[in-house]
Amino acid sequence: MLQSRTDEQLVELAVSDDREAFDEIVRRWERKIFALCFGMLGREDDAGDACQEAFIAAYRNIKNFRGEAKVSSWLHRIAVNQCLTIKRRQKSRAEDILDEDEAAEDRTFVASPNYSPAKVIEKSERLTLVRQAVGGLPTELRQVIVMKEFEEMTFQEISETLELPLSTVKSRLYTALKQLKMRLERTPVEVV
Amino acid sequence: MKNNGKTNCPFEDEIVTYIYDEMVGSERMKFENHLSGCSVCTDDFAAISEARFSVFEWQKEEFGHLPTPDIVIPYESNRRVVEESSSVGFLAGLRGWLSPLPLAAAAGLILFLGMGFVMLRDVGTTDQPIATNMNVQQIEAPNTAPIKNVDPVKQHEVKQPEVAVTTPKTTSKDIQPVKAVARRQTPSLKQTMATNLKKPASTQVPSTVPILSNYEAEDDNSLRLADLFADIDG
Repeated sequence: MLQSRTDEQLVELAVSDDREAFDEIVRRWERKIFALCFGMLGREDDAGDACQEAFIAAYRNIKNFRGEAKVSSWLHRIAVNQCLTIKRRQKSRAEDILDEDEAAEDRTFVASPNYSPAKVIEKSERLTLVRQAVGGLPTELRQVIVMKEFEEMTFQEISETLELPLSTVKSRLYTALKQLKMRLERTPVEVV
Repeated sequence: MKNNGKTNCPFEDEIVTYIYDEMVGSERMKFENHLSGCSVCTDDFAAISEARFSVFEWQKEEFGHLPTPDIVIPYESNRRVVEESSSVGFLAGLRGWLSPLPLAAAAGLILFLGMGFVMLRDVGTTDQPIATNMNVQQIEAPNTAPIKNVDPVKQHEVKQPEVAVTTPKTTSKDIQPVKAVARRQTPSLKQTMATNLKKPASTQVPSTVPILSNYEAEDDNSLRLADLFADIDG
């Protein structure tokens, strides 16, 4: 059973051309890498492309993984570099339709879109957990999350509204997201 | 959790600034260069990004599709409520009736003060017109112009002979009545002048001129003033 293997064991299997092992790595990390790319690029479609390219780059370079760092850190670094490459590419020229088509052709490692019943259930459970986790945050932390994510206020606007220094607002949001991450990890969603 | 899960990297506070795209160009470049080489920041960035994406997804799935409600403030029904409440009791009715009174009182006071100001100003400066945009010459012209220019007595003395001579040449509308009068007088003057010209020299005594010696003594029976006084005295 691949699901019970650690990341390092899966990488070892993938190095020996076990595609199912690499698929398991993708399934396990796709959401986190996508979230990272979304944090880097700010757009879902760009994040999807970056995530795709990051996993392709990981598969091509999996033999170079030496086990000095965690698999997660390795994947994070690959994703960050892919996002930076995409950003530079976007700066230098307008987005090319051909690139999108090529990327779509290679979209074989990533699991199918979130329309399968299992994915829908998983998503629903995750949203319930997020709601509970946000609701469990201290008021001052929950406040900045709501103002930033729901009301789309800038840090300066939040600072003026709450009459707090700008650095305090940033620090509170950082802490809020960190605590939220920890709360979500404490009750992980069972992968179907 | 120590120090709220913070690392010691100086860039960690900038992670949220970068994620929410509020970093300026030069700082962004510096942060990206650091991020690609710092595994601590990369892992931290991934953790923050994942938490942020969870919130983003939650917001999008549960709230994003909800339409913004159309907020309609029922001003008219509020007015009706006030009207209805005014008919409930005497005090409420009185309050409703008096509510426009302060406005009316204020308007009346402003009007009264304005009129008083205008009147005081008028009394203080009687020679000046009240309205500033009124043409002074239009008011004063009919009264002052004839007095200043022409002496009425002289005007009467001079006028008739001038009119008699220059009547055909005058075109001003102001002297139309005078012109009409002059036309009426003109034939008689002309006739008299004509008759005077036709008359023989003054040295020749016409046969029609009465001479006292030609009259015979007759009884004068006409009423005289002396007779009347005599009757009264008598």
